[in-house]
Amino acid sequence: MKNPVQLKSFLLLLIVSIALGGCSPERRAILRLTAMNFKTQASDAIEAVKTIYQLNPLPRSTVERRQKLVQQLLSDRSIEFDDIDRISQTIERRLQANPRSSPVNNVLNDLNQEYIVAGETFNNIEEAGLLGTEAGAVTRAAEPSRRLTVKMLLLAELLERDPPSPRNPDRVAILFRFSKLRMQFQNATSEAEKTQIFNQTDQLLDELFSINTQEKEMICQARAKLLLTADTGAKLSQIIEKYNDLSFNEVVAKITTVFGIASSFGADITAVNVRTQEIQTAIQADPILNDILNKQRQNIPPATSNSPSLECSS
Amino acid sequence: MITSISLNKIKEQIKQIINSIDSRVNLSPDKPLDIQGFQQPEKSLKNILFRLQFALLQAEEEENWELVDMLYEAIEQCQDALNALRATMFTQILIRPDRDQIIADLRKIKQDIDSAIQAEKVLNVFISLARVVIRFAGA
Repeated sequence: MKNPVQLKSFLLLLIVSIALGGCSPERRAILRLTAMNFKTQASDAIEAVKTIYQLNPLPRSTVERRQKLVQQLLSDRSIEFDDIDRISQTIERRLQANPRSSPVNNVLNDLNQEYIVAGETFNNIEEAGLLGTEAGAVTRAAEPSRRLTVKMLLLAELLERDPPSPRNPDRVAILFRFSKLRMQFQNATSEAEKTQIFNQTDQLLDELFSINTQEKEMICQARAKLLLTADTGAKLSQIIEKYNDLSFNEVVAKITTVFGIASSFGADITAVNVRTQEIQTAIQADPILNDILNKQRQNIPPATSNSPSLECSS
Repeated sequence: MITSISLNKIKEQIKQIINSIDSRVNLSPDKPLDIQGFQQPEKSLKNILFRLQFALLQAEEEENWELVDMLYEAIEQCQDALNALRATMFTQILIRPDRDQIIADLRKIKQDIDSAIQAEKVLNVFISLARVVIRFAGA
């Protein structure tokens, strides 16, 4: 190879052949899409968790709140109308004009930030050429993506063991109506009146059961979203880990699995709860993920005997 | 039934719960907390909040405005306590162990990927240049 042109041709051929053996564009696409999917699902799941931990006021319409306020302004002799601070505070509290910020939401926003950063990590990966020089950096992402997967599982376990009671204010309103009906029942003078109160109480019982069902659905849906995200996270970790040695066919198989599960769960998210076992088995198949989960799990309190843990599959 | 006297006792109870949580957090700021100790206080605060909201409806019905005012204040206090407790629990379980490390690792990985892409772009320019050189040399 004395001819410099021949030497250059040889070098060029060598570079191209190395490049073709490196990471394919399909691999980059599936990595970016799975990471994006992970980020979107995590954000959706965290929003659902925020909703169920929200401490709500008593269920009253704006009109009802205003009526109560007017009633107080007209009958509360202790109100001094020249005390602007107190009047303003009363009006604000009664109308709930300024919703209070919750530190729970702040912590959950911080958590969401971790998934946003994870989603953005592979944003530009498709700009890479055929040389696969990014492969070394990609494989280092396996550990953080596993940790993020574990966080979704821990949150799901927390919900399961010690579910919050987001619909308690509705229960307060219903039980208050129960107490009023009891008083009416005790003071009732005719049988007809008693029958009427009896029927009203019976209906109220149905309202209470309906609140219980709605609350369980809310919590199970949040849990399902967390599990769905964990499922995507487990697959993302596997894709990252096998980034260097995955054959094209395996990549295609991963695409089908990742998006297949996501779309079949997407139609009816509560179906995830029925398939919890399937998701848990898939996670246990990844020994490193399982190890991190078991270590972190030690922070989670055990289920208390006096509060029944959540049962979503029934 | 809650009266203004029993309400003061309840408010004192909320304060005690918060103080016990605060002192537990302050005792070992660097060590992982025993989360199990948060469960009972959380349950107590949830039950107190329930009773306070129930009492509010009762006091409004009776037009006992002094108690209504006190209950609004106590409800806010109890909600703040419950939120603070849950926030501390989530921070301990989900944020404190590894958040900073995860974000730092991922940012470094992104930076490395972007540098790799940049290096590839430079190399591609050289390859294109080489192609031009070869074509001219061949011709």
